[in-house]
Amino acid sequence: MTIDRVVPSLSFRNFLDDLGQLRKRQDQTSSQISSGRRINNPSDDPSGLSELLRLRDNIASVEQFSINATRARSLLGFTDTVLGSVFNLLNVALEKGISGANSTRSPQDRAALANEVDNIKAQIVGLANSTFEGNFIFAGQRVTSQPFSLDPAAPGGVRYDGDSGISQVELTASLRIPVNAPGNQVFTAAGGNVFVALQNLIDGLRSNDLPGIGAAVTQVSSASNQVKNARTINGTTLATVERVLPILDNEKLNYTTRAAAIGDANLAEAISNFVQGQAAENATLGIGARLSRRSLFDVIG
Amino acid sequence: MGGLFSNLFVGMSSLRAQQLAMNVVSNNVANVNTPGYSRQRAVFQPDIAVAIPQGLLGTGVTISKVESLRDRFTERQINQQNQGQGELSTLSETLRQIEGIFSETSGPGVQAAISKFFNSFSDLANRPTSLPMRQQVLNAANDLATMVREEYRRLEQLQRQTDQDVKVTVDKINLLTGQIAQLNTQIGSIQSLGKDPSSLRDQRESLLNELAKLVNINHFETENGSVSILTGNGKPLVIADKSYALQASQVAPSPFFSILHGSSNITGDITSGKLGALLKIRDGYIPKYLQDLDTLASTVISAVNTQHRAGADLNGVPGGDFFVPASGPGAARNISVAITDPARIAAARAGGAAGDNSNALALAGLQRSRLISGSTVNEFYALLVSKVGMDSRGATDGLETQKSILRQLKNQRDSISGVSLDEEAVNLIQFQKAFEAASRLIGVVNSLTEETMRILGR
Repeated sequence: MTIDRVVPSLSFRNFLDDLGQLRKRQDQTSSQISSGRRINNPSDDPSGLSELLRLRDNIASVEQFSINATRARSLLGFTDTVLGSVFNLLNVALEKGISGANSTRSPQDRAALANEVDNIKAQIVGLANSTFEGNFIFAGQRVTSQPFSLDPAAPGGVRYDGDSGISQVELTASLRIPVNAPGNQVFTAAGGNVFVALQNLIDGLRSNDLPGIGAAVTQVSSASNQVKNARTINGTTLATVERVLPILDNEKLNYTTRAAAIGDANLAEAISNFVQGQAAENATLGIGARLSRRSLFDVIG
Repeated sequence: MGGLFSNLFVGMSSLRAQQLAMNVVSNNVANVNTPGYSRQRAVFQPDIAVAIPQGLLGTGVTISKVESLRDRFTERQINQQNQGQGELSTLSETLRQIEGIFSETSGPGVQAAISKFFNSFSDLANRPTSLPMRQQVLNAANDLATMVREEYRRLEQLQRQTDQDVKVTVDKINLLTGQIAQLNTQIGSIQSLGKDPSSLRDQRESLLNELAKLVNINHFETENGSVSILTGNGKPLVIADKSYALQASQVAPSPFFSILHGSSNITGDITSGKLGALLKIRDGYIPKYLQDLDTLASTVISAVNTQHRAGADLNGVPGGDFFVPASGPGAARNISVAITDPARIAAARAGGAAGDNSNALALAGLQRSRLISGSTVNEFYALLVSKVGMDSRGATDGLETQKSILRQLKNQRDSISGVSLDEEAVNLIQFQKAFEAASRLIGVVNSLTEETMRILGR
């Protein structure tokens, strides 16, 4: 569209519109700079914002997974320590049993050994009732009540009141790991009851029953293997957690970087745009001030 | 005829004409900054010649008329574009306000609350027996419910505000059509006296433009110079000196104002101008967003409640409803947490012991289920926010385009109707010179007459 007659109102309208455009852009740039955000309203970049929100959701999930993993690491680490102690105690008991099985031992020696094994058994019952943050770790999911109590009527004199429930936690959207080993799989499994083995050993030592001691030593040995297996499984899970934790950190960094690329203002760019805009604004204002100040009326007398 | 005295009359007519032309120039100069003013021009016409034996002899000059220079075609286009601009500027302004309600950009909003709520169940799975942990779940759930309710409430509030604006705008339309009808009367009577009602026309033109910004209209000028205005679908607003008022009144079952013309409801026919935009916001955009929020709340309520009922609480009691009310319309307006006792959260599966966390895991897992037409709850909300952003962006971009079209049109109109001081200065010089020449002519005739008198009187 060509304009043949240029009148003052036309120049002023163009000037004001141009200035308005410039000021609007400056306003956007300055709010980017002051807020540090590239997107200050959904309309600034609707699809970018949608992506940004998705990334924020991912970040929140990964943060939660990290919390879960860190907590699982403490719990699994604690379980490992407890199982380690149980394993060591069982090995001590095994040594006592082997020593008691020696035909050179006197009945007094065996009675003393029996007391030591009895002591070990009591310690293991105590360890089997370990708690983490107030919850019993070997109770299956009945974490609020003590799983192992002394009960002469029960096999080996120790009764299990827990269940066989295994709790899992989320490490990633698709990976859940078990974080507990139920006591009936570690201590009172049908194939290798720790307390029955120890009680048999104590009984054998007390009654000078050499074949009985021999049989009980085998039982304690297999119970010790069972605890070792439980500890290995626990350790494998712990290793998984250790492996996943840095991956989660990495993932979070990745999401955060992408979110920053979308959502954060590029300050260097924004400031340079702002300075450029200021120059343009000054120039426009300068022109505006000189707009049509003169007309033929100034010249004719 | 012919002779000295007739020369005097010719000079006289020229003086009068040049003076009038200079008046037109000074009026133009005076109105150089008056919006909507169309420059005027004095049209010179030779007086009727008289026949003399030698041929035809001119008898001077008169100003036959003072005309306004206007381009009806451009003015009509400006009027139409004004309707578009009125609509888009209201749309863009109001959608901007709606964007402010979805505050995801400035701080944590509903989206963050959704993440936090579902993740709190994942956290609870770490320590299902911990009461503080359970309390955290309730806090996160309350935050989410409050934020959804608040967003819904603010949208509804804006909807009511828009409805009030509808009424105010209808009042403005009625005021304008009344004024235009009055101008029609005045213009008609001035024209019937054979005079030019230019300034009244300019006034009417600017009222018409104002009206066009408010509502879509068609208008045309009748032969007697009055303007008739019809609504977009042909209902009369102004015919000659009569204006027909629109009415904003509530027609059941709608809780909002309908636009009535006489007894017919023309709400649906108003598609443009500010009024059109207000109706689009009130009846289109806001209900769409409200419905999305309702869908979101309904989905969360029904999915969480179903899963929660399937589990058992800390005491082994089956889990009840987690949220109220039941899903459905009004879900977003009223969503709240049904549970106050943290022990009542069903983190365990039915029949599970206190340490069972499988239901908490299942509840946490809902955040990854595609519950709403292929999207997760969080994705659905992100889409809603970006929809709001796109709507607002569309209106703002449209407004920019419209503004630049309008600017071109106004420039075009001004290039025809606007006052150029340079031109007026040239005209002034021209008329002044002619005035001087005519004065001198009269002077010459005068001295010739005196000479004749002197000779005769001797």
